[in-house]
Amino acid sequence: MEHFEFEKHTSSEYNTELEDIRNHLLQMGGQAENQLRTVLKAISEESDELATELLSQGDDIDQMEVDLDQECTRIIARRQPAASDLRLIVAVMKSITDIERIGDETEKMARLLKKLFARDFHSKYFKEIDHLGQEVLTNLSGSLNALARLDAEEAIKLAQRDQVIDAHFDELNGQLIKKMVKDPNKVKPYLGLSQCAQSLERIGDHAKNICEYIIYLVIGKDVRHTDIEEVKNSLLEQ
Amino acid sequence: MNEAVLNGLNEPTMKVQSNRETEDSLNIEYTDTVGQPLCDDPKISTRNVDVFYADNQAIHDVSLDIGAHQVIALIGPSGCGKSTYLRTLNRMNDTIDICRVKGQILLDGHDIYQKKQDPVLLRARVGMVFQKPNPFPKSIYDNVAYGPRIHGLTRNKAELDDLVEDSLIKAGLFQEVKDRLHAPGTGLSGGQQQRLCIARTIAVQPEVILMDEPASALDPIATAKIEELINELKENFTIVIVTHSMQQAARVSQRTAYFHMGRLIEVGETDQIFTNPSHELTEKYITGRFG
Repeated sequence: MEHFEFEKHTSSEYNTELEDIRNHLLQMGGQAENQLRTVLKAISEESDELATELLSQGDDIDQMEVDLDQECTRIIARRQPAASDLRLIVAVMKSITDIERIGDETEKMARLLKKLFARDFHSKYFKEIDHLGQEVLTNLSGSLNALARLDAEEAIKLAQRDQVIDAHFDELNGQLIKKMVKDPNKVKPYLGLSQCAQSLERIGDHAKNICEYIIYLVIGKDVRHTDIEEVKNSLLEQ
Repeated sequence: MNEAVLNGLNEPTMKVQSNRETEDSLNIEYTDTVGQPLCDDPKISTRNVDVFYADNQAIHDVSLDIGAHQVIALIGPSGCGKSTYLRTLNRMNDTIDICRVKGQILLDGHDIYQKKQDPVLLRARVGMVFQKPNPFPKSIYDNVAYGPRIHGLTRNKAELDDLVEDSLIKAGLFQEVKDRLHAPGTGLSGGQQQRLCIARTIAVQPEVILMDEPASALDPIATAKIEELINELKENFTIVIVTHSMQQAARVSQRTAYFHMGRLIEVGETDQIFTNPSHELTEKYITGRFG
């Protein structure tokens, strides 16, 4: 949408408010991205210290979610936004739920890792999970960049890439299940690894949701629960 | 009665076209109207309408259908021509000497600007409610009975009483005034006066009601009552409302038409216009980037 712009309202205060929620959303996304980086580092380095560090970061993301919700509610009440402004508010309110859940998943992974490290459990699958995690991180970073640039084309590409993550997760999880069957004594730690992989797959889904909100925000089309190929083709036709 | 008077001759012209120009202040190119200006079941069809005040062209080449039993909102910045366009629909512009209207305006397929059309009878079919409540300096009863009396719509006092009561009920005012029907209409509150004017309009049994910012002089409660009334009235009437309140347009209308500098820029379903307008000018206006 070439005429997309959040500034230039008659009310400069309104410009500032909209700019603020965009900035705060990106800060919140950046925080979630950092948490994912930290937990992936904890996995690749098998570092209990990093897992602990992540858990000690407290409720930053939760607080950001509450603050952004309040900011959006205030703008709705005071400004009655319409068109792209309204879509921005809707996209922000929806994105923060996903980002908050990404934060939760990273914390869940950190707790699982701490249990695994406490057992002194070592496995080549830490590396495999890290590979999956790097793919997820690429998608999450990409979706946050697309959000910053309001780049719907990039959002479509990234949403498509979620299928690759899903396939990778299925393959990895299949291998972990086989390990559990083969070695019943290690069901618990492998289950822990499987849950970590599952968290990463979910983070991928949340990143995909963010991409869908970007498409809605920029193009005005709700593409949730539709085949991404269909979406791509219909948008190309337009 | 009205059908005989409005024995129309012209078929609607379905062509929608305009000249390409650059809109000066915003540097946005104006092209044809975007969206769906025409509809399948129009009560009023306007085609290629130009309106001039002496040499000054206020409306440029507007083609728009107004669907039956629908509320269509006309929005746009001050001076965009929405009220001028509204007034062409019942020939209120006839009262302005320097005003000329070109193009075609059809009510149920009949040209309302043909010479044999009596504008008074036209205005009985296409009534109007103004920005400022303007009750006659008469009683509440006489305000509503005025139109039916001059148009001879009732045969006796009992019928007239029924019509007055029915109109006041439809305008949502009867319960508030039933015990003082012979008190002056001008003694009512602003919101009540506006509903009295709506009752007066309804009393002559129009098919279309034109509303020119009907709630802009009212407080939020009175505004809510008028909006609720508009919603009920659309069952029986076709309503065209000019409003400066974007929220009001979004609340009361099914279709919205956006005017800018005398041109019809975009027409669409109200939900679409307020969530995802197609034209840059519409987007800029409804998001408060100008106007």
